[in-house]
Amino acid sequence: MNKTSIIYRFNIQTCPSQAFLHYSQGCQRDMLMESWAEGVETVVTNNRYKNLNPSYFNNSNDNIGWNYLRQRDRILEMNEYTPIVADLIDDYNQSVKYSYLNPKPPLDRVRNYNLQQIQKALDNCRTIDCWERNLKIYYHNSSEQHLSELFNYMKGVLNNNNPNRCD
Amino acid sequence: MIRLSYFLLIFLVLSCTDEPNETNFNVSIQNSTENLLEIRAYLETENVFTVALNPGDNGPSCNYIDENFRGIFLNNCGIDSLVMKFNNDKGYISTDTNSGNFNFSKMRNPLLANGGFQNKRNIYEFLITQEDFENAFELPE
Repeated sequence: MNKTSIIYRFNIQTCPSQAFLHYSQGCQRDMLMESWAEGVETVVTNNRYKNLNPSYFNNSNDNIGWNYLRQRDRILEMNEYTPIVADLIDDYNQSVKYSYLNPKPPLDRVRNYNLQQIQKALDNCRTIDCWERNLKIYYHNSSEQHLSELFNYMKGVLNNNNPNRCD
Repeated sequence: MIRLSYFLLIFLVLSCTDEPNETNFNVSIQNSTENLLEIRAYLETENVFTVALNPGDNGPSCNYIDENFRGIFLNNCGIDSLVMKFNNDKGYISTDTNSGNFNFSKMRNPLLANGGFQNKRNIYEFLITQEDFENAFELPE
């Protein structure tokens, strides 16, 4: 449990009428923070490997490198460490790649954003909607019509009953 | 200078994000039929191991630590397909991409996370039942 959760838990006990709101917002903020951190880790690490050791990308990591398992996760298995940042950048549609899983991982038809754009859109955001809205407002991207579809899986994670998810 | 160093240290520690929770999973196959069952495990068409399970026996066992249960997953257990054959030479073939024509009914597959496991406190068992024995396929040589 991180510091934010402790603060929100304290608020829940001291301010019952706001409990649900704080509960939900706490996990949503965790999701923004941890997904961003996870995304930077994934993208930067893989960029380094592409330069230093291209053979790192092989069948053992589904040819997509570091944190490849995040792309296999379905909404029901996800926690606050979603692969949304990598999904905004890559052209890897996990719903097609792992179509044999039941249910399938989320549909990812968004591509070609970069870390700088994603960071600027996230700046000062406290909600998933804010992050999505800023990406639409700030930048033109040929796949932006699929942004809502992509961000919807993050919202699905907020209600997925995964015991390992933020609370 | 020392105060500044302490401040920086505290700032850095408080700025850290959490690490995800991981769980220890144990996964195996249980022969719940009244017949002998042979299990041959493969990785890229190479036979990795073969075990024979008497009625009621449990095996092969695979342990791994992961955020999510992934079945008998290639990268954790080192196999990508299983041939499960009864003593009447009928049986099933399961692959990590759920391909082929000799799969268990109802989308069951021991190599996949939602393959139809029984879970008791992170000990996952894939049950092969008497009904599976009765519905088994004639397998190719």
